[in-house]
Amino acid sequence: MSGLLNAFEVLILTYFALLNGTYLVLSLNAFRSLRRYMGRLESLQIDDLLASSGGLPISLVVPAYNEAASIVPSVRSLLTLKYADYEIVVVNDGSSDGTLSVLLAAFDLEPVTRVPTSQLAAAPVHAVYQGVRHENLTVIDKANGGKADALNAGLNYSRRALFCAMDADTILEPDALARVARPFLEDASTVAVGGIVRIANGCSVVGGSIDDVRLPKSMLVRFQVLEYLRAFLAARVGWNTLGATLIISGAFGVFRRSVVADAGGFDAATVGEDMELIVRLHRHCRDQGIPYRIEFIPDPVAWTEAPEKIAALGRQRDRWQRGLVQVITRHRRMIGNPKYGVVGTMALPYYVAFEMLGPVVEVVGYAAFVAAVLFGTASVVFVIGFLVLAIFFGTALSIAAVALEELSFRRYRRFSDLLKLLGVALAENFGYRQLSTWWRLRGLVSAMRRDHRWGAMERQGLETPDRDAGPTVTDSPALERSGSR
Amino acid sequence: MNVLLIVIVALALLNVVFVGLVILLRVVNGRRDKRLEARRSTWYPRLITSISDGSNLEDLRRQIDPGERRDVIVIAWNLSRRLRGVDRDRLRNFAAPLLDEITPDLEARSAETRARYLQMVSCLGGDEYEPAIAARLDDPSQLVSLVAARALCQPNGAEWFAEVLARLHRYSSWSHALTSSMLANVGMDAAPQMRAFAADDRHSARDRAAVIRALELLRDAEAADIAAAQLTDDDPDLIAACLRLLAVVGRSEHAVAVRPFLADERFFVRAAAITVLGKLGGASDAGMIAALDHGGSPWVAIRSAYALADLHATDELASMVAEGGLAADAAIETLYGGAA
Repeated sequence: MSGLLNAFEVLILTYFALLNGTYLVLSLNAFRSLRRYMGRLESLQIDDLLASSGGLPISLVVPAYNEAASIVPSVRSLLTLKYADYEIVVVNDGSSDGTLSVLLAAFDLEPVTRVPTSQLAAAPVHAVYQGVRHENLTVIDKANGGKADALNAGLNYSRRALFCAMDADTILEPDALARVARPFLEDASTVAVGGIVRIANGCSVVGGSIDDVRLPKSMLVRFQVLEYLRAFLAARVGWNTLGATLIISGAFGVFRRSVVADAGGFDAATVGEDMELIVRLHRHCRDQGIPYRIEFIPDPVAWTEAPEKIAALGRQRDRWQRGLVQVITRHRRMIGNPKYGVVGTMALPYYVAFEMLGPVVEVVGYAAFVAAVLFGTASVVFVIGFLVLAIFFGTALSIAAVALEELSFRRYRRFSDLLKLLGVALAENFGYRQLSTWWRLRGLVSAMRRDHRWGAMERQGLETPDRDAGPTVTDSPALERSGSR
Repeated sequence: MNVLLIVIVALALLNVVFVGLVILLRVVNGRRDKRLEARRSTWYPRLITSISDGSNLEDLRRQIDPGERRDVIVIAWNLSRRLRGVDRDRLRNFAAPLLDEITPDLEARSAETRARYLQMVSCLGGDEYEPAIAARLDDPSQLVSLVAARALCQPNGAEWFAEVLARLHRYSSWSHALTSSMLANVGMDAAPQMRAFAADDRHSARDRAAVIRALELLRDAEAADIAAAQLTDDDPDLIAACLRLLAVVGRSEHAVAVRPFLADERFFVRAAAITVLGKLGGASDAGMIAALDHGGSPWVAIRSAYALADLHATDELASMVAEGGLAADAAIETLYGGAA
């Protein structure tokens, strides 16, 4: 028994070392890459590029399900983006709250005949409307089919070479499209680009735009702010330098339309349709011998609302974990396969070992250490020491993510916000990380039970009517559809 | 156990150091921002006033402290991107003598730094800097080379255009939209060189396609014959670029060379050929277009309907409507401007 426990401890320690070693390498990669990227932004300015080339035409595809309360300001905000050639395709995904009638009334839409330019699988389309005053606004009314299905329908009716998949409640910064289009200009083989998703809770939102960036008051949301910084500025930038971007957030990503259509569009059978599409694009392009690049860049910003309640957050993380398991299961042939380059040999094995199985190992690790103490194979001091070590290492990585933000974009301008973020880096180790592990474990179990539900989420709404007041409730509880992992 | 303790203490110290560094970074960044803001609020109005009222820029230049020269150059650079004509020339006269401060950075190790300062030099420097900029066309970094090419491809900048064209292959991974607009920016002075380039099949099809597209942006009528002649090439992107140019500046005699592409197996070539014939063709072409099997391609169906509308072939459009399905929707979309 003690031999088994010792072997287990060694296994856990090795796993811990590998996991944190990977995080460390990714963070260092991200540091180097961010410095270069910031230099590149200054060396060839996007305004100059767009002024001369006009940018590449983009269709914004906005799936909307029961968004009656927020869709009009969202669309108005999109209509003010600083970009020369773009259309907005809002897909009303069988809403039951009058989303369509609100749109019809607000934007003077009239029914049109429009030829779909692809035939991706999607629920039946009832009608297509076009704005009279805003000719670049199209609304597609279709039967309910979920976010992926709605995106496919939008893709079928979009006409531009690039399309941007986003959420109806995502706030794009005015220059976000211009920035996200840049890699498509700089490399003609680019097929997908993701921008950073930041948390808007706590920020002052006026007229559909972020007016003042602040940390939220809720500790739960602050934990998520730090998580997002770690995920986007450290992990995604780090993986991107290796050419192994596997996730482009469903809240904000731009794709080359023809390649996505050829690859079959979004998969409505998974709850992780954003990651699934990216992995499939890697697979499709490699299988077909198409030269391609999939990029994550950290300067185009989309703001999203994070769950403020613990139950809603749990459901979101549960769903993300299920999505991850579905994607990995579906594309298991790519894992370890050198045909798929770094994606097959490094990124996917990492996702299997650390993201998918991580919660199992962590929980088993806790149990093994308790058992080891009980059976006397390890001292209490050693176990506590190891836990302290894990906490300090995790804290160091989180502080590194804050440092990356400080080196690059510095969105949280208040000194007090910086101090709070540093405090959160330590505090998240006591309770939040364990909860997060539990949710992910629950998601893993749900995935094995083939649970495909999205789960409900209560949204508070982001618009701030009074600068000094906090966010107000503008939205009734709605089905969550963000997927802004 | 001792090792564990040492690692824990080391990590704890590392965390403290990290926190200190982040705070230090914030303080340093904050001070730098304040300094820049102060200099901006001083120099921006001074520069704008001097440029607009024509006061002595020499005097203004003498007011710059040696320690703030770089910041003033950056401020002038940002301002110059918003100015045109005489105002920009005046700003250049002000800034050019300061550029010695940054020219050593054109040799910096980092490609991004070289590119950044090259932009400043090209924006603020006069003609005397052009040879230095042209030398950067051969920079090992593609980014720096492209920045140099963009700096040289300015209106009436045909002097260096041959040098840029000779290195077009270096930018082949960039999107056509970017390279074509860069080339077209020079204007019609560069059109003869572009025509010669496009006609020379020793250059890659991709580069020729970019040049053809630039000629299309310039609406260069003389390029139509060259584009028609290039239709014998095998490269589908070059063919599509030539067809797009013909749709803009082609003449009716070019229709002969275009018609065979109505049967091309690649939908985008077919669609481009249909558009050209919609502009250049006649009644017989309307019949051919109406009889085309769109092969399930919505783009071909849509282009067919629009081409028939261009040819005023209402009978053929009506037959498309009667055909039903994709063709009918395309015809209705065309006839009624999309309204059902």
